[in-house]
Amino acid sequence: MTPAEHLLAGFPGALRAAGLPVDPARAADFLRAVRIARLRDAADLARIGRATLTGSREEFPRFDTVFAAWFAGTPGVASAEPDEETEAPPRDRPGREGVMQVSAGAASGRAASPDEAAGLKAFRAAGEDERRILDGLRRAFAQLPEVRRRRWITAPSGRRIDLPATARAARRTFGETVVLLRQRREVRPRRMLLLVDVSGSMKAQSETTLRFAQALTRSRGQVETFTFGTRLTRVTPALRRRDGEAALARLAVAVSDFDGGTRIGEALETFLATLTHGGLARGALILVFSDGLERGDPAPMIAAVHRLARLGHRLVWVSPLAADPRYRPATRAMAGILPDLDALLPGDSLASLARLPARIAAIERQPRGEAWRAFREEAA
Amino acid sequence: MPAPLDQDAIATTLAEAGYFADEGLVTALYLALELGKPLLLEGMPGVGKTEVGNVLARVLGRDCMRLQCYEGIDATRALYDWDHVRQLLHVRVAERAGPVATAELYAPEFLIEMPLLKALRRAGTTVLLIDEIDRADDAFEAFLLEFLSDFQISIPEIGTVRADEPVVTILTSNRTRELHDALRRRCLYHWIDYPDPARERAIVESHAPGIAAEAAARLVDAVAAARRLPLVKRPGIAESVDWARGAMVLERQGAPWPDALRRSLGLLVKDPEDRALVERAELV
Repeated sequence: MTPAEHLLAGFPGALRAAGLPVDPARAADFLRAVRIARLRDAADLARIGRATLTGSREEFPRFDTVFAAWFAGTPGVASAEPDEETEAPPRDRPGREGVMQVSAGAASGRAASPDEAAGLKAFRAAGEDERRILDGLRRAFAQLPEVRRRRWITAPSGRRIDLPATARAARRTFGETVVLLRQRREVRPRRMLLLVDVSGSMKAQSETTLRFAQALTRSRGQVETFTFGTRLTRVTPALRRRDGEAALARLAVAVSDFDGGTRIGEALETFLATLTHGGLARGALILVFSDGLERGDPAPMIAAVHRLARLGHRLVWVSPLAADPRYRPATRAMAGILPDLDALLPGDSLASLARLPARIAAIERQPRGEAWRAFREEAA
Repeated sequence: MPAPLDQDAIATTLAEAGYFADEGLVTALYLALELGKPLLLEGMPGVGKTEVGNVLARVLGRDCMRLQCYEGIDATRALYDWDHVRQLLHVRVAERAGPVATAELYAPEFLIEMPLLKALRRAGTTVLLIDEIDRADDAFEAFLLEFLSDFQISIPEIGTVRADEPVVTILTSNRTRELHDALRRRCLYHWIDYPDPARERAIVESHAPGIAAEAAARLVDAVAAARRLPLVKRPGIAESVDWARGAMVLERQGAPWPDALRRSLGLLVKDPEDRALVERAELV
């Protein structure tokens, strides 16, 4: 093997070492591809590598780093940042300065920006009362709505006759139809999207809210959770842990902006701007856990909530402030979003969170945008 | 192996067919053809992922077999099904003449071929386009694995159907759902981005022939600027082509270009709030 061949042959291994899922079959494809494809410069090599060794756009940045490091010193590679204009993986909002980034919630050693509270969030273990409520949540979750899917599944009491299956069964009885096989539409839990404010003003509630989210994630499929403060973090994987305390411990590492500042509007905009996230909201039951105390101009928040409400099936705002019977959504931000909300419910304690599923079941049957009714006298 | 096209030939023939691919896509297509592997394309809506399959079929002189995925799609929609009703009728009719052999019931005439089986049996003359795979259930994804890695499918009544050469396969995904790693592993991968201004201009000029150079330049700049705005739905290539065509219609009726572009803006952005944003930004 020439040195160049050595260098090429070692590259897939270097990617693997950097954590990319490069299996031997892919490595072989890469080496075959290098032989047959046009190879004039490092940019060509990078293109071949990307096509054969990566499996999604998220892997591009890591691929590029390893590529630059591995082939450093090779003629022409120093300038081989793959084509700027089209090939570089764009963030979902290119060209906007100071845009909020979405973190995947991995436990990486990211440097926190100055306005994020330093240090890891310390969670206390759930108390006796909380445990009891958490254990009882499972029954409450059973009231949450379901959806019928397009898909038909076999079911003895289904209303549609499965003709192909019936015909197949009839073959066993010499073509005579003895049993009618039936099917019905598959029923699945409605997708839920939880957006949890973990900023300083929600300090007293973010922990119980996340415990609630963890219990929900464990007992039901199709639940996605994001936290936001100064950044947006997807925490669904952490919440899938069976043990509540372990899940929270992982969260403390993954979420770097606990008890810091808050930019609700920007967080929601970031959420909506990420292509895949729109799909998570579509047709989903969306719960936003936040006090809605937006600093600065509330217009972006109002616009983002409006959009979120139209994407989702129902949008429920859960605020600790709403626990007070005298509470009125009077701030500009809250007054602005009220027409888009299907409900504004209290979320000050685990006990009030435990009552949410029953309330939501009722909201499912109501027309949309009914939250303002509860505060009607005030408006008049 | 499919037609021995080199990368330049792929790029030129695609361009002749009206598809302007960047070098990354050309490389990926070339490797997909040469290595005999499926190609997974991802990208924003409206950047022409599906079109790759159609155009590739055209330049290779093959049929494009399209399998549109949707929730609940299963083997009987994708692969094959037996015409059960005809089988039963056949039994009833044939019984009068005497005993019926079961083998008769599995004759080819009762087999309904769906896109995957069709593609397997005509591997040399087909480009298989598995469109929007992210819309299918994950179970269907698993079902595709055997097909994608070995280009073969097992059918209980017939046995294993194997393609005599790799099927040229393009998969597209809009990423509404994360695809399984096992599927990604079996495919080459390419992310289609929005085109750079020069390529977008070439696309617009080829799909809206006769558009004035000044108008095309203006339009392409405006589209690029619109994509930088925080829009709910950022315009794809299809939208810019529609916009160009719409503006041309208005221009032919006597509207000057800037005016024609402004009036046909609804073809570019299709959401009232987006439209307000674009209008406020005064892109045209």
